[in-house]
Amino acid sequence: MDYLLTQLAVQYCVFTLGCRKLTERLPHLTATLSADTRLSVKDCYRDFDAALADFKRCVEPKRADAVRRFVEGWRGRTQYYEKINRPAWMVLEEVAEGTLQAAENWDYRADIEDWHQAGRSLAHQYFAATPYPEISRKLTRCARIVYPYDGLGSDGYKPDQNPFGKGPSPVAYRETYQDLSAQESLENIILVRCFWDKNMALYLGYPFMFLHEYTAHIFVNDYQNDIFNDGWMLFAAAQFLQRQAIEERRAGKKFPLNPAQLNIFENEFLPQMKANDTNNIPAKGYAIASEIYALLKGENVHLTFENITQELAAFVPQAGEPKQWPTRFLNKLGERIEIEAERLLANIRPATDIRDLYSRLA
Amino acid sequence: MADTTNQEIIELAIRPIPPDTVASIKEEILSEIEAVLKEKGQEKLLVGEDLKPEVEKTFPIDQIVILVIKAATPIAVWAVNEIVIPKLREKYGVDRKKRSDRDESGDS
Repeated sequence: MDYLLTQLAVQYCVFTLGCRKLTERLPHLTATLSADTRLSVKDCYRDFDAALADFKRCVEPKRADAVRRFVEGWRGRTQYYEKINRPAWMVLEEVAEGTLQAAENWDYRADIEDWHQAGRSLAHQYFAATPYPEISRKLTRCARIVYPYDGLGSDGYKPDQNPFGKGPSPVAYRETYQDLSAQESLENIILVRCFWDKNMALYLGYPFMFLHEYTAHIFVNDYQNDIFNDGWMLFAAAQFLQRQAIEERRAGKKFPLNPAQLNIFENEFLPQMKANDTNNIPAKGYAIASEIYALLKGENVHLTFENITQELAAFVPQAGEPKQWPTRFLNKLGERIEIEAERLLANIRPATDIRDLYSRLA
Repeated sequence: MADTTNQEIIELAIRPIPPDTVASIKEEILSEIEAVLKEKGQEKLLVGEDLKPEVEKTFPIDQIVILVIKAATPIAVWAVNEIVIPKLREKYGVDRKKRSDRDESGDS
């Protein structure tokens, strides 16, 4: 439940340790590559991911041996950097050494928990000033991470499934969860699925995925209006992260995520979401949010993008209203912004709340 | 109050078969379960929450739907196995998560 079987746990230790050490040195690596026309950070990710892929069949029973073997393989793949860009190669050597040194005491659970708490804390900041008790009373919620595993590889799904392929989500929230081996029923769980095909993008994405679970499902009222919870709220979270990073940097504070983690959603996940031909709803919700954000930016209106978001996050169906009211509302906004954005803005200006706006759009 | 001594949580991976999509499954599956239980005269299981289906909330890059059904009584477990799952299999690809025992801890 909270741990993995030995073989997969060793793999996951190698994955999290290597990725963590590389993540810590990414700003330095990026600096050494900024003027390089032959080698890029993407090349480094590619070689790192390839070393992870080479390693996935490795069955070293001891963590330290496994880490050593992974590092040897990775060094082999990046040896050519030394001739092309020695400073970059030296940064990677520091990563390799740091990885080897940390191997003995590395705990993947503590590492993932760090990112979980970073995501939760950012979600908490997002809703800190909420005027809605429906949200504020949920801000004490803290989910427990569970690593589901049933002996087949990851949670009963095919071991070779790619985290961004045809399988289940690499991170998911369950209000209730039954651990099959422990015969225990748990509440408020975030599942972290340990796929065999792991890569740097997955690791960089963990803080954003945890942020999403809180801003879209755990801290808000979720009546399965996916266009809002899994679409609009992804845009809201991505916007918030960018804004918060700038504000904290201006204030001289250290932001918990580096630029690669900050941009991973837009660089990696958003294109996948848009290309997902079997679920267009999140991308649709994201697009509507993005258009409404642009429409209202700089406008002196009561119903700002943030106010709409907070109201929808606190939505409770009133008498006669279906649980899917937010879906209807956002579909209506989507229709209107497509065909008559100026008229929509004219309707938003006098609106006092989302229900008032909806009645003006009917 | 439901007898929870026989409670079982049944987890199903639902794969869309075109023209169905993940989006259409997420939108329709709970009402389809309600409809088939009603057709078989077992809709009361949903009212008392003896049988509670839940769609997993995900980071939305997944391409299958995980459906979790909490069955709190023996009759609810029976209804899931004999009514709900066969009905879902008529329309979707359905894989049921299997039980297995954990053999050792993950630390080495």
